[in-house]
Amino acid sequence: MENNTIQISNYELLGRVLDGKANSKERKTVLFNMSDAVFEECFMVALRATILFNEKVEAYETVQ
Amino acid sequence: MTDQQTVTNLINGDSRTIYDFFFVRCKPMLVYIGQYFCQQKHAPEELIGEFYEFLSADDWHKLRIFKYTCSLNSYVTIIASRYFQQKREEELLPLEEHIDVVKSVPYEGGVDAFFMEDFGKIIARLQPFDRFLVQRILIDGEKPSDILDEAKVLMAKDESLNTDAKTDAQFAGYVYTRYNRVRKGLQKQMVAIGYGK
Repeated sequence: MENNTIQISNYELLGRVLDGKANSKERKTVLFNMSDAVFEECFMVALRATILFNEKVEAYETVQ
Repeated sequence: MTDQQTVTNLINGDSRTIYDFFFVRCKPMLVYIGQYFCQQKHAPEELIGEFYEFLSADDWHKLRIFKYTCSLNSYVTIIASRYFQQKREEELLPLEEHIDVVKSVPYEGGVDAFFMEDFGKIIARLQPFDRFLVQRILIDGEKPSDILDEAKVLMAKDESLNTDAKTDAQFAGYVYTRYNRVRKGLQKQMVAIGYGK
C-alpha cells in the first residue's frame, strides 16, 4: 500500500507546495495529511504567512 | 541577492545580512506566526530573536541541510510555523491537570470567594464562544469531545467566528486549540492580578 503520510518536518517538500512548485503526488500527499489537525494548523498558518515577506530590503537601505 | 548567497552570508555570520533577513525580510512573517501561536505573550523582537537562536543553533544546521528545492522564504516559513506551534504545545498544561485544580477550588469562604469573583470578571470579558468553552470544559469539567455539537451551533450563529475545519476531527482540534489558548490567557491574567503561578 502506498504510504501517503509525510513528516511535518519535511520542510522542503512543504516549502515546494507553498511555492506552487510541487508535483501532483506531493500535493496529494499534503492534502491527505490535512486530516491531521496539528499538520493542518502548521501548514495553513505557514500558507497565510507566505504573503507577508518584506522583499524590499534594498529599498529600506536606500531610505535609511 | 540569491537564496544561496543569503544562506552563505547567514552561516558566515554577516551581521548586515542577519539583520536584513530576520528583522526586515522575515519580520512580518515571524511576527504573524509567533503571535498566532503565542498570542501577545511576547514582543515582536523577542519572537524574532528567539527564532534566530533556533535557526542558528548547531552552527546553522537547518540552513546547512537546505537543498534549495524550494524558496528560502517558504523553507523558513514552514520551519517557523512548526517551531512556534511546538513552543505553544510545550507551554500548555495538561488539560486534566488544570480541571482538577479548578475543581478543588471551593466557591465559598475567604480568599477562594475572591478568587472566583475575579475569575468571573475575567470570564465575563471573553467572547461568548470562548466563555462557553471555559464554562463547559474548565469549570464544568466536560470533555471537549462532549461539547462539539453545541460548539458547532454557537459557531454557526456567530459571524465573527470562522474555521476551515471540514471534518469532525478537524473541528475537535480547533475547539481544543482555541480552548487551550483561552485558558492560557486566563491563567496569565490571573497571575497578572496577583494569584501566583
